[in-house]
Amino acid sequence: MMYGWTGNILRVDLTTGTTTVEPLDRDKAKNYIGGRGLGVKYLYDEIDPAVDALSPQNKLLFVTGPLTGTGAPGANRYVVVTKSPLTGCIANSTAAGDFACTMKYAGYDLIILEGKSEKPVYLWIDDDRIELRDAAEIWGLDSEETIKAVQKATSLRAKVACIGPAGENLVRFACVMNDAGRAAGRSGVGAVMGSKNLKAVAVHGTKGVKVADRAGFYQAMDAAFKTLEYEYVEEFHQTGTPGVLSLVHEFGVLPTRNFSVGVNDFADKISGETLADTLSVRKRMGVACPGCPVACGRVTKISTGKFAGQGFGPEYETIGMFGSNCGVDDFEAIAAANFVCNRMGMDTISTGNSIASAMEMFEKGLIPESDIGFPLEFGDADAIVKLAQMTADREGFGDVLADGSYRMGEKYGTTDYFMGVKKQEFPSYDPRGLQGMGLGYATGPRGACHIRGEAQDLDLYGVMNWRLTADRGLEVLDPLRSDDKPPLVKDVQDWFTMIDSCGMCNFMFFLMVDEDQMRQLIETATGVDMGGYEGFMRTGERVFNIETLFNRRAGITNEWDTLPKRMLETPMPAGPAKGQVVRLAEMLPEYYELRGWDDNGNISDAKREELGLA
Amino acid sequence: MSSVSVERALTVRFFSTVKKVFGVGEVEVASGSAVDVAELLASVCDSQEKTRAVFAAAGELRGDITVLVNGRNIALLQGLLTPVGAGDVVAVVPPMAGG
Repeated sequence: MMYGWTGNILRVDLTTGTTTVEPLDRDKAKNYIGGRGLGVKYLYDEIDPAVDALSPQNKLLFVTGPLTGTGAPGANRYVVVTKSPLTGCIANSTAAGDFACTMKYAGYDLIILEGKSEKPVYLWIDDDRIELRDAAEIWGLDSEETIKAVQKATSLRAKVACIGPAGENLVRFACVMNDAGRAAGRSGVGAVMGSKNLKAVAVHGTKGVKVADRAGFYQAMDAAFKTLEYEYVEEFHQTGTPGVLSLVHEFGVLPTRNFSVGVNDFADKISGETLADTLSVRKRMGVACPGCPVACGRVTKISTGKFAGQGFGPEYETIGMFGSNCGVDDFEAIAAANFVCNRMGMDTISTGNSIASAMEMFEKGLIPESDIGFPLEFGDADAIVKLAQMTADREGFGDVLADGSYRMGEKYGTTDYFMGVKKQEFPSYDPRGLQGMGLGYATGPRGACHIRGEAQDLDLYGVMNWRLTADRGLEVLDPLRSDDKPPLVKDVQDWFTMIDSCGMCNFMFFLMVDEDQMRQLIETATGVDMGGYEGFMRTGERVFNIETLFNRRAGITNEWDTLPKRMLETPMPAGPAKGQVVRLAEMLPEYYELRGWDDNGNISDAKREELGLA
Repeated sequence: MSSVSVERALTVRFFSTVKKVFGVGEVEVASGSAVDVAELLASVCDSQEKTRAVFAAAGELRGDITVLVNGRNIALLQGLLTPVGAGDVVAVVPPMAGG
């Protein structure tokens, strides 16, 4: 009997069409927890990281955490783990919504999808009844249509994760979409699903989740909810993540025109307040995932005109990439581009960032108009919507964008205008004014990312209510200072690794839950003693290190722990961060030393032994 | 408070929940009316509700409020005694998050 975990793995061989249920390895569960951690451990043990990400030899794992579906605040996440076709690195993309809890209630901690189906199929899991069904009739449908069609064919109570046309077309940053508008967004996990001819996974579950210490678990939940900062939650209800755009601009780090500068004269037009006042359908309350008190989700509607439509989002990152980074101040166009990405199943960050890169390369004469089909200049609102659709369809120049902006740069002779790390595009923070973010971007195992160690939160807000800052007696941090960042970035990366592994949403840890509260939730749910705060953080460190081992075995050396030349050599031209570059060379050696890695970023034998990594 | 010419003004911006209390996103203040952040914020907090949104006590910011002067946290400068002058932009920010 396991608590917190269901104790079951569903393995699906898409080549042979066989499905098996096997027990979850207790030691792996204890040492890697769930979600991101458990997923990378199983992937690391089962595939050669050097395989082609889009080959049948790659595997695709859907992984819940021990807290998923327990009723703990925001515990509604699953993680899609695989090798990324965009980066060649480990990919772990998380999504919220109903799907994750339902997968758990069906009785599975992991679904391991391997091989490749000869024809398009979808997987239907109804508790213990498992079927692979023909997907010929739904292949080609967008994500919203797919979810409806699969529910009609299975059960209206089924929760569905699927790919859209972008995943079918192997767009290297295609998503897995679930519950209409929720995305396992980054690193191209949807392309891997498409490469396996798997259109959707539908689940219906009636089982609960048992916790080891019910009284203790309720006590831990109560403590977590009591620390909730209700005033800020109310703000999330009304503006969601777009509310942060004005603040990022105030710090002078809002990416503008392909990260040329961090300030602009149109930030007010694309702010969270503007969105709430104009396109938002629900003015006072956002959309919440199961068990979430935050309700950060947006629904927007464009009633008339060429962009008319309705859908979820856009999130802050989407507005930053399609808006300021493309020089576009037309909120309807930004929302429409977001609708396209959601329906097609495509990462809004990489899509918007890649279009911005193409805009700059066109304006510099590096990409000819004949290749694009029209002049592509910053500020072209119609172009962002049109190119998003062309990318999903791999139509015309969209076929170039669909491989990401690093490969686009290689095709046109220079990667200087690729703004990202490890071939994955930056999200909406210019690191020149956020030194910790610069180090976090450079060292993240899945490439440029803002949620695999939210260093930007430390940089922007000074400190959080976390032990990793409180124990150091920190009251404020200077985002322009670099010498204090290596230990903080290391710790925040390990801490967020635990968040991604337990099944809860990042926002719980921004608004209320600290490391000890989360540890208590995991311990009371699973009955596993994590060894106090030190043991808890060491588990996060173990996961982070095995991800790096995966990358090294995939051939990704520490030469990729770097940033674009623009971030390292071109001072920010204006705004509060004027004159700044990321001082990565000053931070990286200390960071490696703190991690127990050698100068080449390889994990020392002593560190491997300490963490139990063979 | 009346609008003043840009040349002589400094700007105070309010974000998120603080913006709701103040009812506006920003105000302009004559640069000569305040020498430091403390004076400036006191001058714009013209009701108890506004004062409570910014200050924990007289001369003490609420713990959850961050104040920036030209994009720099005043905790890294001279705190509430950070000087302000014409053209400066002061931001009053509660906790927020993106994603």
